[in-house]
Amino acid sequence: MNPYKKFLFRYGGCSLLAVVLLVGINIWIDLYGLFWRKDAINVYSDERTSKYLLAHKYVPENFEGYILGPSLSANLNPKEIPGLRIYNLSMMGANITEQNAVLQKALQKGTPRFVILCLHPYLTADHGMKTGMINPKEYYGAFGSYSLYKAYGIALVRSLNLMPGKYPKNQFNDYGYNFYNHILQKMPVEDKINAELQVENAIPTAIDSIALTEFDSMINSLTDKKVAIIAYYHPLPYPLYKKYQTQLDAYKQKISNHLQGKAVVLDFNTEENAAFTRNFANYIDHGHVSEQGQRTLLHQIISNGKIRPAN
Amino acid sequence: MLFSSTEFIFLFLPVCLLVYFFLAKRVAYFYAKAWLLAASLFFYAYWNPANVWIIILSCTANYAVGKKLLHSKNKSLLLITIALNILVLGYYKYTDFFIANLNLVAAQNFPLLHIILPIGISFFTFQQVAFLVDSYQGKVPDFSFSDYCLFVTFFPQLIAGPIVHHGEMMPQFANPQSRTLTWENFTKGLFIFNMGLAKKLVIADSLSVIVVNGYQHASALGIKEAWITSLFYSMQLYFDFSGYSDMAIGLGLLFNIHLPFNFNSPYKAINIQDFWRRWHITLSRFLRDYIYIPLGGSRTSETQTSRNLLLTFLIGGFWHGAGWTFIMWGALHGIALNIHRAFSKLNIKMPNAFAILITFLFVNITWVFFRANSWDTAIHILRAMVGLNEAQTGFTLINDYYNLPIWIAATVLLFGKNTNEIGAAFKPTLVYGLKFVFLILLNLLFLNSSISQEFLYFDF
Repeated sequence: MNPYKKFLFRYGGCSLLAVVLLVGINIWIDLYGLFWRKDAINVYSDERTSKYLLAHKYVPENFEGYILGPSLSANLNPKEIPGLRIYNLSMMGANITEQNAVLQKALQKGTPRFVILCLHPYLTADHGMKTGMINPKEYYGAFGSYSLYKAYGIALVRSLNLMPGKYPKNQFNDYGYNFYNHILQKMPVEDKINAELQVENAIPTAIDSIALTEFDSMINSLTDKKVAIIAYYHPLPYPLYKKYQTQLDAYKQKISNHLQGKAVVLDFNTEENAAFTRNFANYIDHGHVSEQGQRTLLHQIISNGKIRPAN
Repeated sequence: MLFSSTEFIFLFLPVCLLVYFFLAKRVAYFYAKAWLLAASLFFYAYWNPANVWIIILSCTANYAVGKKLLHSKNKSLLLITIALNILVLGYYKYTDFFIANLNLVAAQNFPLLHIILPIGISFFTFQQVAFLVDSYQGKVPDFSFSDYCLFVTFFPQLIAGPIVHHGEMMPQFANPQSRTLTWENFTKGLFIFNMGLAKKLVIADSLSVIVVNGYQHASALGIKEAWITSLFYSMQLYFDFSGYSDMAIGLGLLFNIHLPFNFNSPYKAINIQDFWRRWHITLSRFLRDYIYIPLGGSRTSETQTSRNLLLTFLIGGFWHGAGWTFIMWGALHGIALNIHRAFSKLNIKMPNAFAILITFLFVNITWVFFRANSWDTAIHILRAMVGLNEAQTGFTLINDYYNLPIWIAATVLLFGKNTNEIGAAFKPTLVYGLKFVFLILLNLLFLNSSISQEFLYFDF
């Protein structure tokens, strides 16, 4: 046989075998619950990719409610709520386009009973994907891709606690909770809030018109499926809220109009909630809530939103 | 359809190869070539079907004129046809540039036309101009229309080169030995294609993330960030474009067609003249044979030779893009070649390592003009490189270091054996077998990741 022909068949065959083996291993590991896994699955790296892929099967098959929003709600730990299986689909830095893409993926496979939606101007300030991480191609990536092997590497780093500063061991749990607090918290809360008060236009409240259309589309996709929506205005530290109250109230008015009759709307920036927003122990910075704050907030959302365990 | 896309690798290419060799073996070579021509036009139409007529019209007209020039030696016809070719290229590529400059100079406000550049037009225009000139000079043998069209449209080189010469292509298409599948060519072709694909997917695309971030935030860069941005672009451009050329060469070999080398470790060049013998070799060859020599080359006075060099590189710069930054880039290279000519007469020898470093640093600085979207961006980066820009607080050029091993590998590969050398030494042995398997796995891994981007030279 021609030596080049032999070479091609031999090493072409080896390549094919290696591909089959590697793909087989990745399916066996099933990091995102896409193929066969039924047990609890954590997020390890790339929150956007992970939650997008987990939304294909793991989230809709195992949870009855979702939390949606940017980083402000990503550190709400649904495991704190006994009797309810809630998955936190919020993502650090997510805008409405990204959040909607992940939600729609989950809705394709099943319908939750309810969603808890965190409202803050950040969510609708812009539109469009901020990264390429939420991408249908990532599904095929789960068979073997750069991002998959990166996730393996970070999972290993986390499990062996090799870089606790950057990749803490228990940053995420199997309910989508992202405990980023000690990564984000850089200075005393009072100092951070005071620094933020000095910043001009620290809370931009403008709503992007396309983002608002996407917001409406997301809400309609939920109401069409008769999903109960509990939307809440995220509690901002009292002095910050007071500084921007006029703009924030205008923002709230506009968003609430779009939610009229479609959602239960909770506002945690009212005077009745001032005990929470004046207590800086509830915060880690100028907006993200502390462990104490998230526990209180989540319990209030569940009780004020009248979310009950399914019969 | 990119060479680095799944639809090209797993659909277009296998179908094209299978049908080509089936027709060549079982039907007739003529039909195999017709198939290859049709496949190449399909490949071209995949970007924008509306542009196919441009290349068809261009081929037909240039072929007819070339035939006529072979027999009539009509200089006016030659000049008119070249002018028409340049006019078409100029219309698509330079109209907005001229309008913008006219607006600036004459304080007018003519609207820009935003004409979309048909992909590959800069390349096939050059190839056909060379063909016309050679036909007029009687250097072209008799040829068929199908072979001519295949020479221009052969898909491996159609979009971004190498800029092939009719003299090296048409005899290969006419050669009956090209019609049978040759295992040696086929295996080598696959190996070289995979090397090029890895250069593009693994290295160039991972460098691109940093380069894009740096150039988008040029005013925020400090000295360190500006140097990283410029050095990463130098590497990205080399791996992207030479990777594309390797893929083209590999694809050519699958069809038993040998395309010319386009790169030969350019960053090992010991002077700027050496650099242009190693970088985009087929463009340098075209500029030398069809611009520099017709202008008089170096067989004239020193002043005229200097002028010829400068003009050649100004044209080369302008060919790359319709912008003052490209003209500046060409001018800098033209000036550097003149300085090198003067310096080489002094017969001063400098250590190779130092010569390589000086040459690389110069090339690296000129790439800033080549890459920058505007004059301001280029100046921001150059100022930052010499420490005249304060780094902006809060801006991070490199957000994570997951790709650090790739960046290190890229730096090492710049100074190791290049793909031409590795391809030439290829033998069906265990060592090459393991490299082959490794490359295939690496490429499949990155092909299945969502970071791949267009080739840089598609813009030119």
